[in-house]
Amino acid sequence: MATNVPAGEPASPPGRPRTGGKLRSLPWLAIILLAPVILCGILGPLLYLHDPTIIDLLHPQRPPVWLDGGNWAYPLGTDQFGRDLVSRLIEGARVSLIIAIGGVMIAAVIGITLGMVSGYFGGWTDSIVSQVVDVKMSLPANLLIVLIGAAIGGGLVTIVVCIVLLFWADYARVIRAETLSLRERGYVQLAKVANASHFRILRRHILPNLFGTCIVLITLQIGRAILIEAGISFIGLGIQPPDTAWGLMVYEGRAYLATAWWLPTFSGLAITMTVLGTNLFGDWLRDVLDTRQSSL
Amino acid sequence: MWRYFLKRLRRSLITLIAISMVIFVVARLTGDPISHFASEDASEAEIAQVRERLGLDKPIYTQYAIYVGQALQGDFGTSLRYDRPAFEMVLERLPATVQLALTAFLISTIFGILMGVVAALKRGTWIDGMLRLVAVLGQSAPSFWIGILAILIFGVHLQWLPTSGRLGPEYLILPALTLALFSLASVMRLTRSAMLETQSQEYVKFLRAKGLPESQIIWKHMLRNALVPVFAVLGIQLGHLVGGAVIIEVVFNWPGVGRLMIEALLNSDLPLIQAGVMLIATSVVLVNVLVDLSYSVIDPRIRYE
Amino acid sequence: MSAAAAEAVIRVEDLRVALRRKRDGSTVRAVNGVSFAVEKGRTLGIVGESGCGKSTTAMALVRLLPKNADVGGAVHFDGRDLAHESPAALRAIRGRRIGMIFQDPMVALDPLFTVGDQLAEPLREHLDLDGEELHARQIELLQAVGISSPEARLKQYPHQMSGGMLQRIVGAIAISCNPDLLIADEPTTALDPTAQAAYLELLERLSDTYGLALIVVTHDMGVVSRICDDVMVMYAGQAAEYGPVRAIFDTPRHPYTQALLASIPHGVEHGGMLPTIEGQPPDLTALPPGCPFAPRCPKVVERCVTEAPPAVELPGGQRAYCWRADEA
Repeated sequence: MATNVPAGEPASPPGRPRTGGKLRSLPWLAIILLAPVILCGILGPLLYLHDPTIIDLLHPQRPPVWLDGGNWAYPLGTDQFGRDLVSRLIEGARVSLIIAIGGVMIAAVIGITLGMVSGYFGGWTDSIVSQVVDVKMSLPANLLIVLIGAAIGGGLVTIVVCIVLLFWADYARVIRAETLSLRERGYVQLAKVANASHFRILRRHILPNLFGTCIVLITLQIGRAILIEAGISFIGLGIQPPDTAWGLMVYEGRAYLATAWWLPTFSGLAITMTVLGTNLFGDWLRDVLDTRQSSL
Repeated sequence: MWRYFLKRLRRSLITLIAISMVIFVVARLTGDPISHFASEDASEAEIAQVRERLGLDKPIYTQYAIYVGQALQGDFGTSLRYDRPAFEMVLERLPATVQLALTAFLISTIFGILMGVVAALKRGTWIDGMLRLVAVLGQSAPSFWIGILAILIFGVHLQWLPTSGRLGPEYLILPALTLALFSLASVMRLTRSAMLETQSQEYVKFLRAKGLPESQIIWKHMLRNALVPVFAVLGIQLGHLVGGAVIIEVVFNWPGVGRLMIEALLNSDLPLIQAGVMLIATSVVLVNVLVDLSYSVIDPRIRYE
Repeated sequence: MSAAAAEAVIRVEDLRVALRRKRDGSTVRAVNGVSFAVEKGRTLGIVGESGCGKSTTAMALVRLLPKNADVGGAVHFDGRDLAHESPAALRAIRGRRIGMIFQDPMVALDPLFTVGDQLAEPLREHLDLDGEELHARQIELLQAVGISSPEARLKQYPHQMSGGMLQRIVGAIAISCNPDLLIADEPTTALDPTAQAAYLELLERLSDTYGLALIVVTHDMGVVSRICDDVMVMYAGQAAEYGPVRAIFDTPRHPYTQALLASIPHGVEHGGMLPTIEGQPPDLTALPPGCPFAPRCPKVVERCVTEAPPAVELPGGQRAYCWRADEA
């Protein structure tokens, strides 16, 4: 009897199974690496063990606490001028983070704007932007840094200018490609038919769809920017003493390698852990955001 | 094939022109060039005379044309500090930089590809995990810091290898390895994901249906296909390496163009910087053309474009 | 029963394929106890909707399956049981004794190697051909699949050829070592209509000329009627009906076969709606205990839901897996 039979239960389609649900495990390693750095960046001076600028020439190159002659007052030891390394690392965290985030944000605004405009309008705007992006891509980063250094000297502004000039093209390239494909979507075409202004289409229909890509890119770029900042400081074009940044600390510590190995080691370790953290976090974000995009 | 080649060549040319313009602008940005050539108490007439001799009274595009003409003849002016032709000094240092960058390029390409293939074949095992950890660490640590640690460990403590200068082949080992690390990590990650991508391709299944040995499928077909995206970025990797050499040369006291430029930077020796940047940029662009050609050897679809 | 005669090139008994899903630990029962046989010179069509396990069945014969697949049952070929052979033994059989043709010729060949190179690989591997001999065999094969100016084609790359021509090359590779059995998985689906007809003709000719046993996996009843001698209709990983094409097309006994045949447009009738089958195939991770078609079956009875249907042998070598197959 047909009536007795459970009528065709809508079976789940034999498509891809959901991967672990929405509550994926968080990137704990990245969080563990980044949390202290961000804390140092925000709280900064509150965490100082000593004033990082106070010079104590009587106790230079004090070793870390676990070595002979170490002292709990200076857990990671002191530098060539007797300044507390922990406090200086905290100060450096602040400077490095502000520069990296600031530079990346400026580059993002410029690059995303150019990428959207050239992808959306095409034509000569697009050819010029693409050409400049091409040139930028084939010029090694450090050559550009040397040129900028030659033009405007060293300092904080130099670092930010370098980061912006080095990074804007990545945004422009990626965003241009995405805008090109978004432009052909049905709802954008509909908005055009409905006589929406270009500005409105870009702002309401295109920009929101670029959000995921931008967040991932910005995260990964912050890591790279910290590396660039460190490199610039290392060749003497960055932050100038007595101010400090991690790259500069590695550079200064290098001279004392034989007698105070902890100076370059810990400042470099701080850079590595921070960049590792942002890289892992960026990779995680990319996976999460892509999954969401592909299942939409 | 020729269309592809000409397209790349045109792109290289535009890049070189753009770089020469940037260098020209930078040179003009750094103050009135007169100050380098005339003494401070020179009279108006003397200054005008120098101006004319240097072509500074002419319109800016004429000045640029003169500049390009001189650059093509290898004339970038005289080093302010050493009072020698800048181009000559840079050229002397070029072999050291090329040696360092090419060695690092070979290391990162060969080992990056091998490690990427191994990681892909051992996917999900501890070998894969270790290799991936090395890769992500290699991309996170500043190269100069790795260099300093290498000096600390292999030079200061173990005293296995020399860490400063260029007096023999053993002097090349630490700087080349340090320089290669970042690129090696990129090449490895790319190879790994390309190999994994290849594994799920239909033609691999068809090769199995043909009854070919797995080793032939992996090393002949999958590897070559995985190398297509890898070769596409080798040119960019080479640029990274030459750029990265600037800092590595400082760390290891390697007498190359990079260290010369950094010194020139601290001395505000502009002619030397200009000559160095132009020479290195030109080398990178030219080698890129070669790399692009090798790309067309591996992928027949480009040859028939 | 023609299909179960003693001369069978391949005889499959109670074939089962289960795919373990790592993520949620469930098991997809893609193929559940399928039996059939193909004789020399005959062509078997395996037909069904997408996801019914017809391709998995074909791939399971030579174990070209994902790593997470478990194969059960027996695949008798050349006095051996392929379902329990070592990977090395299977490799020696694949391409040598059993040739395969895949669905999409545009992706079946490695884009980085010439057609000639890819045609030479199985000849070198299985027949140890080389030099002049190898070249002569390549030319002969390309001619056999109807490719003109074979000399020039050998040096070309896949991207320089059309889909129809590539599928001929794939065919040439499949028969390169004089196999006993050819398995074609949706061989014409990716081709345009004119190329489809020509390719079916080619398959028929190859099967006749070389006395091949041929298995054609398809979703297209037209292909079955065009070139097959026998047909197995599959539903949800199981055989619904199996036997000579003529018998099954004339007197389909399984309601699913009946529905499938009814949904084929006949001639030039206008204005009528083609009948469709209500509902969806069952979830292969949680198959019902009875007949998998029961939830959609118009003739369902109580027993269909609770008990697996028997194999009902009918006159003319026809076999239907249905409780009500005996009813006229």
